[in-house]
Amino acid sequence: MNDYFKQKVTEVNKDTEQLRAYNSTDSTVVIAGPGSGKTTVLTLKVMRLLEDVIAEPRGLACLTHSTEAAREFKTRLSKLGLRRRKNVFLGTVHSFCLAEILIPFAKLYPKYEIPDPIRIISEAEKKKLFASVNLHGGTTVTEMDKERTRNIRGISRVALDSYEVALLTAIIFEEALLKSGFIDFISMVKFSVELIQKESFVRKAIEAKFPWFVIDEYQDLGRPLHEIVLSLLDKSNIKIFAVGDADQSIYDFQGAAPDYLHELSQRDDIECIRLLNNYRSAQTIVNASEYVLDNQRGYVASGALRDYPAIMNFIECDSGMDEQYQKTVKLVRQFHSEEIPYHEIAILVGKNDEVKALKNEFDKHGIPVYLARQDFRTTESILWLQNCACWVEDKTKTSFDEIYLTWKSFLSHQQQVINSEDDDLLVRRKLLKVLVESKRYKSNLFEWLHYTFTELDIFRVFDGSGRYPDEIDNFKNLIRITKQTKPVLTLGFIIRLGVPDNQVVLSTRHSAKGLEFDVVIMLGMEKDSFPHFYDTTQRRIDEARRLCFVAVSRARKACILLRSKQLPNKSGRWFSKEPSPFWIILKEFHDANASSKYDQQFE
Amino acid sequence: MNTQPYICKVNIENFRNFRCADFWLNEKQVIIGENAVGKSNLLYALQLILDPTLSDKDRMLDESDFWEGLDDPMTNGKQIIIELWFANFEENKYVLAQLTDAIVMLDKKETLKLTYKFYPYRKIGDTNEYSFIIFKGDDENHRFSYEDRKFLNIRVIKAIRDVESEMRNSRTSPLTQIIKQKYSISKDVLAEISHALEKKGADTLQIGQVEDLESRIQKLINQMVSHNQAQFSVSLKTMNIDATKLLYALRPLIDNRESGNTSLGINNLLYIALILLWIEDETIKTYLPKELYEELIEKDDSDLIKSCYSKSEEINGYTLNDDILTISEKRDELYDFMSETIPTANGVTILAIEEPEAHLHPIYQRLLYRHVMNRSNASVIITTHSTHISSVAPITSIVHLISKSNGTSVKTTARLELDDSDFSDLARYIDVNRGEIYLAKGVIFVEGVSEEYLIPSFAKIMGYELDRLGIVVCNVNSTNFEPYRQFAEALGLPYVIVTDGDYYYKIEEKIKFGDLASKDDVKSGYAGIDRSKKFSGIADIMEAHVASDYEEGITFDDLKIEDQIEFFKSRGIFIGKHTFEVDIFCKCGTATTTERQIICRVFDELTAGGPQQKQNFKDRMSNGEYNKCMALIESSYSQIGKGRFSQRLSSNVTRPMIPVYVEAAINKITELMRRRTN
Repeated sequence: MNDYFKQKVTEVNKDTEQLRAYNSTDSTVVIAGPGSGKTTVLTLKVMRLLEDVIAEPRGLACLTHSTEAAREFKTRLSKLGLRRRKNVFLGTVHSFCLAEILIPFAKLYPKYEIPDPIRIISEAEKKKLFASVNLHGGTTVTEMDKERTRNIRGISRVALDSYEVALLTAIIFEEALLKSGFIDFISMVKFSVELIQKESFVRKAIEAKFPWFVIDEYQDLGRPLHEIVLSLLDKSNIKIFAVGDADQSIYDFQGAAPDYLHELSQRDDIECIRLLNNYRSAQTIVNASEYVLDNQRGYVASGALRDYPAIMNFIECDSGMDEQYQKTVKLVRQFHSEEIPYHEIAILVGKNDEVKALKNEFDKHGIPVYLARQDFRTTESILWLQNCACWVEDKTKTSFDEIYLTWKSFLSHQQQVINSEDDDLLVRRKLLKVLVESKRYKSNLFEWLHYTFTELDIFRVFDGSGRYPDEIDNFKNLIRITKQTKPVLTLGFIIRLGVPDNQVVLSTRHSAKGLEFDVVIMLGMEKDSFPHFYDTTQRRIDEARRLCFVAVSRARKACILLRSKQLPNKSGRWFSKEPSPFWIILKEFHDANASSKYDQQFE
Repeated sequence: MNTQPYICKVNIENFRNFRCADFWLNEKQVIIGENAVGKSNLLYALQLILDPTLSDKDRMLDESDFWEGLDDPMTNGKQIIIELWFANFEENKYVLAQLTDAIVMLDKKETLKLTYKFYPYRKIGDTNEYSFIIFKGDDENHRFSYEDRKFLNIRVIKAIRDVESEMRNSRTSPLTQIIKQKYSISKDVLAEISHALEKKGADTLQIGQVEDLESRIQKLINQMVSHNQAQFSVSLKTMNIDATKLLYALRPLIDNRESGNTSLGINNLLYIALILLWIEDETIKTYLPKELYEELIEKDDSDLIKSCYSKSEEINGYTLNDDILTISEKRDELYDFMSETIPTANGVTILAIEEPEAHLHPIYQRLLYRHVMNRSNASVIITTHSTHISSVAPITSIVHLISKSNGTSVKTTARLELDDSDFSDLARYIDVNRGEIYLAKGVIFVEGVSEEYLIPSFAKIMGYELDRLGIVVCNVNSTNFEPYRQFAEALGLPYVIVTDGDYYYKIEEKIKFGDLASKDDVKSGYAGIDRSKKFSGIADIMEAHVASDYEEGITFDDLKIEDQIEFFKSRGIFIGKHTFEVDIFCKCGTATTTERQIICRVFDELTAGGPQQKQNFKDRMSNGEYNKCMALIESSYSQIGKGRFSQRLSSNVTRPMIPVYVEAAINKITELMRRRTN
């Protein structure tokens, strides 16, 4: 146990519920509100299981919602002293299904007709295939995929309404997909669910490797993972340690729903622990977020900012979004002058094109911004490039072995078997040489990418890949950005990928999930913007309410809302706009609570 | 915790004696076969993949390791392939966790597959450069690593070994290995003991762990030799009282004598016992030091530990109660608890013992073998020449190596499917005959004692010394040839069956046996043919035979009796007309032949009956009433019996006496054997 680990354990010891979760020996659900230290609990739990409970070569599976989250875990765990060890899986549900279920087992059970070899359909091909079954344009890929995700058979009793058109399209689409010999990210998980449900040997093998499953953000993962978990609980000795917060379930469009976490936590064989301490925000912010939720969860501000006189502000603009953008720039300047660094300020908007517009506004004023979502995705190979860049920058911090192993696995997916130690050495030497040489281009990312891509022939490695069908397009997006951005990006851009570098963070409300800032500025708080005009059902309205809860609870010290009294529609006609119901609720909360001194001073 | 993973199938290509050998195995195996047929090479093939003591250099083969029938194998780019499949691994979580990449389907069941491949990996000029890889499953990228081998390996006890010096050497002594790997003893305790030893000059050790090991060895040894009253007492003494070395200088004492001095190969037995202990699953500990006991008590909500272990004052710890391991429910509960609470990642070791007979008294060979086969959980492979061992081996555990011109062929009984009574018949036969069938090069299966006596004599007259040829006449004491037939097929043994025709005729649908065949009988048949039609697999061949050689619509039953008999002859089944003796009598001809006189003389010599009976016998022979002669031989009045008659006759046989079908059978088996060796 290293010092950092010890220090973290000491922290956990001070919170009785965190400690309970850390020590639990049976399947556990941890309901973790915003700022409750769930990542600490999760990473420590993983360490404890690996050090005290599970003997090698058995390990555990730690499943996250996104590749970035997995990466974040990896970093944290290695800081806690996790060494390389067999059968420790850290990654997304999709990558787990692919690497640990489909690749080893699909070929053993041909009766499920899982394509062999496993090839993933590219986005473009999927779009084409979808168009061929969606002749009347009745639905969208997203809607259809949601139905495909939700409508799987299993143990769960959660019943959610279906959108009939999408569901019917889904059935035809799946047949067409099967016929094409490809899988997509949905069928990847669905096939895995089927193998786990029906093949006892698969469960045995999974249990042997992973006696524990540690799952983050359970509320975001949807029905397929839920069915896997229920199957494993019912039919194996695998134990589950799931962390989540139904109140933060905001991925309905992907098929997620708070109901699954709720169902899991109600099981008799599950110990349910609630973390109610909020170590992030001032009590006012905590209360405000709970007020939006319209549900008393009993969260208690317990961190250093517990008694901080939090700011809540409601700013009304006369007309148009531009005015909100301009006011936002002013606000940012003001906070910055009060010693709040840029990267502690987040601007949350409804849509991605609003992020673009905001960026222009900030660029105009010369304020550095960071986009929470880039035009390329942080995929495995992008993370590998990042590792390469880190190694080029500082050879002591990153392991070349690790970089090489990943490179070798990319090569092997293209059936380029490295046949002997000599070949192995050649490939290794080549990679080493290219990376060492590439240092020359570190001041210009575009040139660096150009050099490494050419020398390693990276496009060819991924060309026609059944495992990474969209990788080349993704690389091209990255390269395009590095080419277009002025002033030129350096290697630092890719090294610091995912971390704002004294930049104001611009994000959609969804993308802000899991992040935290001193100041959160929420734009577009008008009726019909948030919740959206189309959010008519109670479920959709509840989802929007949770999204607002997530947004408010990102803030530590201040939460500012902006709205416009008039906005144009798509065709340019202006309409007067009522405030968003959430604006009204938060305002009501704010007015009912005595405003702090600081607050008035700010006015 | 019941049985361990074992090798269920092997495929060897181009390796030493084996051109192409593909065979199934069981969890316990006995490899038999003549000298130089490749028994050790078969083990070495397994070692190439599984033996952790082999170096990479050892695993790198060369031209001399190719099957000798290949011309310039390396110039021609030939490969050596060894493939192993393992079954019964699903419940071993550590093996499964470590080796999931090795899973493939075999016969619709999940198995682990490991492959060794010695192959040309590149060409420089005209020369192939060779390399080897060992990989898991079907993907060559999944290499079988050093780490993997920790969890699945083989330990070979060589035929030529010097147990004494191995036991004395602390690096090779299994005793030291067990202490090192399976027990942890604190330095303080050792220092204390060392000090005490120095003072008192004693040489036995009062350490809980050592005493636990002592009692385990003693228990195991006595289990192995449990047939006799003599119980061995085992103690361990140290040859070095230095605290850092005393555990590594342990020497076993049997009945207070150094094991090297004991007779009958006891030290060999001890050595094998130690190896068995070494590879044993240690999840359930027989000894718990005090601290560990207390730690477990804390984690145990159900008083399981308290109910399984008792305090033992003198060794500062707790020992497992004797009965726990015999109560399966309790044992499983304890096993689960222990594997959850103090998980020790046990690997699985397959034990191979080469020719244990070389060092053991025959009595111990059988006892050791019974123990290893029936009581030990480990998967064991034994190579042997000793029928003391093979004769007590389970029927389905035989691996028979047969030398052939196109490489050694490997035949196994692992997949023999018989019902229980057939299995026990076979086992009894093999045990009673001390496994002679395993030494046989050919077998004549017969149904009774008369054939057993007479056929070797007939053969001798025909110019064949069955013993010298290695042909065994196997008396199955019934007409239930089926299990024997399948057994011989599985072993790859050439065989023929000699069976009575058992002629019968029908009167008003009632079957009547015992009379001689007569042209006057309207409805008649041969029970021998009826029985032979029921041999497994024969029906299809019969059908094919009729379909190819006869007109459409004709069934096998429509064929003439002679043709039917001819058909069975071509399948190695030789059917007489009546019973064996009657068929001999028929061959003896008219009253004046020497043969008839011999028969009558033998009867005269043996019968307890008076002159009248002797005359009756002669008369019946003259009248051709051979069946009645038989009745006289078997009658209580004569007190002869078939066995005695045949035994006496066997030293008086002449060529003309040999029934045609018997002669054909003898010719056939010698021909089959000639064909086999070519």
